[in-house]
Amino acid sequence: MQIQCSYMAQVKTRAGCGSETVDIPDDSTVQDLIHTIAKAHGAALCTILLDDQNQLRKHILIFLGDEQIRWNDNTVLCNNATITIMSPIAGG
Amino acid sequence: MLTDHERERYEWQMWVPGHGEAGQEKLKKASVLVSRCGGVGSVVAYELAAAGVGTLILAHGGNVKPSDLNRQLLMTHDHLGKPRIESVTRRLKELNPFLNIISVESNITEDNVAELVSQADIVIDCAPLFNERFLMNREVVRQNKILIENAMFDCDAQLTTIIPGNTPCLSCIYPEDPGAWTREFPVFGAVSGTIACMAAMEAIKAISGFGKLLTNRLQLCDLRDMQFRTMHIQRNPDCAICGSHTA
Repeated sequence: MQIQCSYMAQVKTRAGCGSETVDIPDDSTVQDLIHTIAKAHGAALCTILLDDQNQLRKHILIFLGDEQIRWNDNTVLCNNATITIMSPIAGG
Repeated sequence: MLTDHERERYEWQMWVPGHGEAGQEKLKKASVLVSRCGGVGSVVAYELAAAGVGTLILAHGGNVKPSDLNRQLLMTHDHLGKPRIESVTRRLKELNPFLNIISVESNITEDNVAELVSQADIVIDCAPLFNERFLMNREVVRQNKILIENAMFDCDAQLTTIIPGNTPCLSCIYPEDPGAWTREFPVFGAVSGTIACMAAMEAIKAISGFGKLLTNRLQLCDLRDMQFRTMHIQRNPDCAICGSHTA
């Protein structure tokens, strides 16, 4: 299935794009998606998303559509779902 | 009570439905803390000064540098090498000499945060470092004040209004200090100014009492592609700062 992924802030910089379509197997979860994205974009993005236990860093925000979702809920995704991944910003 | 001059000065904004003279009197009596007064905070302070917020508490340390001048609109070329807070105060007084400005030649620290927050009705967080942002967030929750949280990076910006006990606090959103953030970041002044104007409007609404505040929602602005999205965000019941706080 295909997931529409949007990136904000430093995630966007490290992914090298603001959005992309990511192909993942049917019934994949948000954790599967994040691991797929991290692997596809290499160390620069992986280190900002995942800790050394391969878990999402606590300050990374994930939205399904317009709703925040939690990493530990491991939400199952549907075809054409829109996921936004955002790293924290403090520019003042 | 507004003076005749104030009625004339603020006439056009008192025409805004829901604001009026009663709202203007609330702005006159209000006290807002802005820290720091850089790319975001300069514009926040300027808009609040123009709108007639009675007391501005402004905290910003250091001297004006050339690299400030692309975005920090209260800093001027002729003030290079001199204290930023002097430039900020001078520019605001030029705009509105009737303001009460409490100038603090320091950034937010553990030593001053409680006192500065205690003097304000509303805090607008414009700091470029998370440690300062977390200090203000903690103190706002302790003192049950409103915190308007706005920030930018590159062409992205975000905004939310935090009301302790009713909305996520900054530590709900970011439970740990993001190690990857650095003090220097890519910025156009037009991006920091955009989110600053939106933050100032949240403060004006919160004080005056009209409109709908951006609570439990995070406004995301992508000025590179001109996309604006409003996301729903959640309180963290286990939050170390506000988890036990009730409205």
